[in-house]
Amino acid sequence: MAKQIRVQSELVPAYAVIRLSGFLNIFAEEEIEGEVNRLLELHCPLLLLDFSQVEHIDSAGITILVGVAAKVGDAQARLGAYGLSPHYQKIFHMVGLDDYIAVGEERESLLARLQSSD
Amino acid sequence: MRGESPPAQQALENLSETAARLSACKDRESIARELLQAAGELFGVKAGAIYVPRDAPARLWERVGSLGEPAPAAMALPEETLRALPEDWSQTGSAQRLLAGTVNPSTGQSLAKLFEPFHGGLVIPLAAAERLEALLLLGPLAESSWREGEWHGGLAALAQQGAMALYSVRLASELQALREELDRKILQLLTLFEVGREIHSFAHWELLTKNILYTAMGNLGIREGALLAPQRPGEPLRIWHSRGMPMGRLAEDFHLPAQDPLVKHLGKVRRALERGAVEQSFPHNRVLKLAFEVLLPGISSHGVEFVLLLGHKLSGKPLSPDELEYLMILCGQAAVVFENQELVRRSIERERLAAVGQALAGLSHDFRGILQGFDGASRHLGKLLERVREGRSIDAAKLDKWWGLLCSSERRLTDLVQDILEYSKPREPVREACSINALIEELVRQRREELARRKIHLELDLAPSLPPVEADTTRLYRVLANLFDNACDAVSAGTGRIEVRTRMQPDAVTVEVKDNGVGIAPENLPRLFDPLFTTKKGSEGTGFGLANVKKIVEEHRGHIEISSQAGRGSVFRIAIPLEAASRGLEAAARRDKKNEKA
Repeated sequence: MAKQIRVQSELVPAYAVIRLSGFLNIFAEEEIEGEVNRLLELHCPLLLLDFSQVEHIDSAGITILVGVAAKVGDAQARLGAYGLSPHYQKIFHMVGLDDYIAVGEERESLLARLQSSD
Repeated sequence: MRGESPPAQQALENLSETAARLSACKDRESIARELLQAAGELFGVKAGAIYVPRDAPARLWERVGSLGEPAPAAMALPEETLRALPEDWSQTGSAQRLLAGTVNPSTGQSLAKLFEPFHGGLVIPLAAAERLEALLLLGPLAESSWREGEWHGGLAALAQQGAMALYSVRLASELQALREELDRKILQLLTLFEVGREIHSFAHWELLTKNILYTAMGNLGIREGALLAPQRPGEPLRIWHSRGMPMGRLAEDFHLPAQDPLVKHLGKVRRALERGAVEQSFPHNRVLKLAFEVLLPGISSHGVEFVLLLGHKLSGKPLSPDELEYLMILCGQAAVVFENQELVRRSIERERLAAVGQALAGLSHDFRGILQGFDGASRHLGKLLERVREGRSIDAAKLDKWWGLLCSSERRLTDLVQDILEYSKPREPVREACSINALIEELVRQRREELARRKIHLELDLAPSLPPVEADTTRLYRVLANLFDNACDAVSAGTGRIEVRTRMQPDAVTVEVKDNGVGIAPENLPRLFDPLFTTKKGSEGTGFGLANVKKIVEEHRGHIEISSQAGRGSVFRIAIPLEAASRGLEAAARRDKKNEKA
């Protein structure tokens, strides 16, 4: 049985939080992209990915995030991520993903940073 | 260079403070700022700039800081000018000579005019550990700054401090880059390990190909990619997956024949090809319609299994030779998986064909045996009928014999068809409360004559308190009959002995059928429950009996065990789980209650 991801989102007027839990791998594509598409269709200007419950991200998972970042950028919205372990923060930096996704330690500070840069 | 102030002691103190500030700097820009500020304060210069080499050998220089009017952002210095950088840089006017040869690296036009503020000033090489870190350009020094002879030492000390600070920052940056490179290598190694471990578990072709593409892209932060592969070896390569790569209608129509010169070339060179190389060698190839930067073949011993097309990295930097090498290893590993999958697929197909062939051969044999029975019986019955028509007498025993053969052939045909249907259709048991003991007693009643005729001794040991089980009565009877008949077939007339035992176990109701017959050869045990496998001679067995027994027992969530010794007999033991048995009790209770009400 392939290890799966669970995606839940919380929509507030100014932004949406997408909570991911489990394994971010090839099997996560539909779930994550489906949720991101749904929120973008609602014209959500800022999407925050909560990685605090994510157990593992593999290379295929990074590719999915690259696609999500491109999609969010195309929709003129912004993307942030928090709850990433130092290991995955380093990987985001190594592949250049942190140039497209604003990375913060936790939700409030990231939100404050993103909202202050408006 | 004569003057009254500042006193030497004060200047040294200032230099010492500058050194402390420089050592705290984390980048070249802040070092440049500190250095130029110190030069302005200590030597009264009005114009200053610091340039660092952009390439090696240092022909191109970029400005990292300036004082006063900004100097050009970048400059190109002829190598000979650099070589001519006077060893005694303290010769005033050196700047004018050196800067006269500078040009704008973009336009090639002379920058000499823009460096006019530095005429009469100095160009000071900032070197540490025998490497030129930067050039410090200063305009004319203020006359009153230092006493004669002292300014040279002060400026040399400042330059040395700046060079050391720049050297430290560069070293730290190189160390950081090395560390990041090491991290990247570790990540790549981990990915290769991960791929080696997990990619084999992707039995599904779609997922396997997608995972290869996504792994390659994700590991290096690549935005666009596609994977081309043939559906079967030798067929054209088509786009199986693409991500981030604009495709339009191409996705459906695109194909590269297996004999395409580019595919053949990739199979030959076994390395990555950059777009430029493809454009040069295969200018009309249709792959150029796709927006890729590099092509990577996945090659197995069969040739090109797939081609990976990759676009730009998120960082915008091109893939380095190291990264291409890593990707080739990844592709090589994936190609082996492709090859293995094809071997497995062929092997399964061969086994399936062999199994179908075996099944058809077995069935043909069974049907032929039955048809022979029909044929023999009908021919002889025809002859007898002929005699009747001719008004001649017939032998009643012969009529019985051939009629009997016709009937038994018909029964065997019915049994065989029923067995095939039973095996081929998965079905949920129609559950009702039934007593296994009662089923066994009924079975024995049916077989009593046969047992007596063959002088087979039967011993029944039925547990008196066995609860009814919730089961499909008809099919459970079929199981018991099959095991019982097999035992009868296995034992010899006269000495044969069969024991049937039922027991209530903690978690199941068990039935055991034991015989002292021929037993089963160890090599036949693993195939005993395979359909069409039979050890019975001639056309006695259909080969579906035990296959159906196992199927029915498992449909009741039970299991079957067998122990056997060739020449000494066999024991078949079936168990119906207690869960089913207890539900049987409840079902019986419900039925009793219903009966009472009725």
